[in-house]
Amino acid sequence: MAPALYALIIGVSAYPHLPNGDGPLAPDDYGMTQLTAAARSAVLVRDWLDSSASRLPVALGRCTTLISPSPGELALSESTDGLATRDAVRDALLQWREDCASDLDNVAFFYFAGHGVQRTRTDAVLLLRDFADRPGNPLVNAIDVNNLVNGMAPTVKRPGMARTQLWFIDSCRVFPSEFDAFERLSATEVFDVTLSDRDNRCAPMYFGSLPGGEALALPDEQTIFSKALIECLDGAASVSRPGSGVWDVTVGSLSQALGPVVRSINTETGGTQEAWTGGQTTRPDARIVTAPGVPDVRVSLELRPSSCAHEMSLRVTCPEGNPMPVPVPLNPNPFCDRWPAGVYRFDAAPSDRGLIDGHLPVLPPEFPWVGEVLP
Amino acid sequence: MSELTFRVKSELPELPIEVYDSGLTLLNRVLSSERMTVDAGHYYVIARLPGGDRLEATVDVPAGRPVVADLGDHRSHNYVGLAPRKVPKAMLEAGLEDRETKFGWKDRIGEIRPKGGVTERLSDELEPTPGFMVLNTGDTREGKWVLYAKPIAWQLPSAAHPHFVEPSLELRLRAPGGPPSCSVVPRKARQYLRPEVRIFEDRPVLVTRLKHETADALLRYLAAGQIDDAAVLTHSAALNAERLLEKKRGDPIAAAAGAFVLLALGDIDRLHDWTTNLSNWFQWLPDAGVALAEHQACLGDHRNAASTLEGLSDRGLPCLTIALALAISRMRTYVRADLCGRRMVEALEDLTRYAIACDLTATVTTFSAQNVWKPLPRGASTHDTKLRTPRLPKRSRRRKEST
Repeated sequence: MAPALYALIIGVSAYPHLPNGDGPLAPDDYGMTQLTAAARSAVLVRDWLDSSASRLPVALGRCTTLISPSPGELALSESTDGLATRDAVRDALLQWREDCASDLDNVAFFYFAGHGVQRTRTDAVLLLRDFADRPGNPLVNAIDVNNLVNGMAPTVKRPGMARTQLWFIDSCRVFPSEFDAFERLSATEVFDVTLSDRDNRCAPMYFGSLPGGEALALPDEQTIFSKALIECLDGAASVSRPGSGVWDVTVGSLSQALGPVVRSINTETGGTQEAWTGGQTTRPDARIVTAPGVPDVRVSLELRPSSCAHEMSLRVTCPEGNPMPVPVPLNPNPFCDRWPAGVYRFDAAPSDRGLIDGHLPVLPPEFPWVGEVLP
Repeated sequence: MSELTFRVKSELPELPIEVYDSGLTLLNRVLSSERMTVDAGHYYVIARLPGGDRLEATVDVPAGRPVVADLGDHRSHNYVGLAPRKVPKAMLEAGLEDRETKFGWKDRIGEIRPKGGVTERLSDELEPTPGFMVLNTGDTREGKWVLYAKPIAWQLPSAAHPHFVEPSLELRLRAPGGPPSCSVVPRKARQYLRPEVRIFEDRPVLVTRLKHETADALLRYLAAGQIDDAAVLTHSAALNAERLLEKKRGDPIAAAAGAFVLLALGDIDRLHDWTTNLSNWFQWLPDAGVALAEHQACLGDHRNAASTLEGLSDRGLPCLTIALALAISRMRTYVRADLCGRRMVEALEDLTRYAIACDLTATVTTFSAQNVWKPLPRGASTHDTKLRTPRLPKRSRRRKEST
């Protein structure tokens, strides 16, 4: 059997036992509310995988999507594989592990969007649909990411475990005060604990938030992390493959680009989120996907001081020699746009105000250019 | 063919460099101290600082003549440059950026004065704990902050040998509006660390960095997700294991940092005896034991890894946050797998108490506590509000929801 990418994608927007849910209310809401965009984000990630299958380094294998949709996302249920309850997630995880263990060259792909809490720096607990459905340990219907990652290690029992594993955790990593009394509570451990052989996995963990930080979403739209992730995978995180003219997104380039792209989305939407990468990255150059073409770069052009902007004329020419649509004078200042990656020629007038004429490389994910104008 | 070398104007002694050809193909990643042999042509050279700021140079390389790519000299760009991004608060808090340092404090840990002195002078308004030395003070709108240091005899409650206590140094930042921030490091580690107080949004933060600039940058690259840059920097001569592990002139904390980054990069073959020697020669450093255990575990030698971690409570709290996290993660697995004794269970409980009080983005383990024996869970007083009402800039017109 040829190696394949096996995906497990989970998105939990509706929590029936939190306020405004449709189930019996939990004894405590733990400071959490209903979400509206996590399930849609999961489906968008799944759709991205489907549409990018031909550009993946291996074939697209089984892709399981479990969601808990908000009222506005109910229509998404038809295209998914069921509700993201503990039992369903447990079964899906066990199946996913067996799929992934069928070939060393498989790629494991895990994405979760929903509420999350964190106890230590590398720890993350993901809350499932039936979270807090009864009194007692509130983390029974939650899964511990550490257990998942350890359970996906190569072992004597599973020597063929996928050596490339991509973990995307799109949830908060805060420690709610309501959990103070529960610091030693355990989340559900889906996988039996098996100790790894030599662990040579490339298993980066891309978190939607810094340790202790929050992950945000645009209500009824999409989480900021999933938006950034898809933009990165579509090329914003790509690097040019030597001698080919092809642009690849690699484990390392994705890690480097996610932060700037999330920050750019913050600027557009007023968010405050920060992405973070952890895990074990044995092969930073491992290819995740090939970009569909020459990637677009977020470009920002600014003249300083702004009071001099109207005195300057800035012209930019694209690699093919055509002028780029840069307003003269530069207004707004800074001027933001998206240009294809390439080498652009910058010309400024009058030429005695400090700005040079020259070629500059515009590379993904962003090109924040500032020209200091001499008085 | 021609030789291409690099000149970098940066606070860091060495930087990872990317060299692109005229078609923007990435040719190589090298250290700024290295040299490349290239064909005649047009090249773009980029160096990324920890946190993502870039230095750039464009060079024309003629055939047969060496060329130096000058990065960071703005005159060479004739005032055209890449903008320093607005650094998010969280990144600043993580110590990922050097800017906006309002109060620096360098190398004064060796100048701790005997009891009295500055402490007495400030005693009326600051009410310092007896025996503490005031290292630095300052003001914010909320009031005065004070950074203290105090030599203490301290160990984890689960230590098996309570009579043998490694001398430690407690650093404590007291500031209005919150519990003190504390770090406890072995006294022998003090010469390798540089505690500073930084002001972020009018809030003083204890930020302790490694004096070894390359090792410090290495951890910051890793924390910023710049894995490719971190991988290049691990080849720096400044991180040569033999040099770092020299008993008298070495830097065991930098050596531990290097080992943790190599482990994160899965570059296990390069570790050789690095972690064994670190653990054997610097037994006072808790991080050395964690590095050895993690190395053993990555090789599948879990029995020895568990045995190494059993002794961690005698060594104390790891200095580096990454070490604390790795230790807890690994110990949890061993406790679940029944591969350990009562000592590890107790040590895990101890470490977890500190981990949940930790500033998770700090390089050096820093936790909230009224005193170092009683860590306070992180953010207990604020997160409930934050989750219900996400803090958003006023300019945002779109409501956000927090997960």
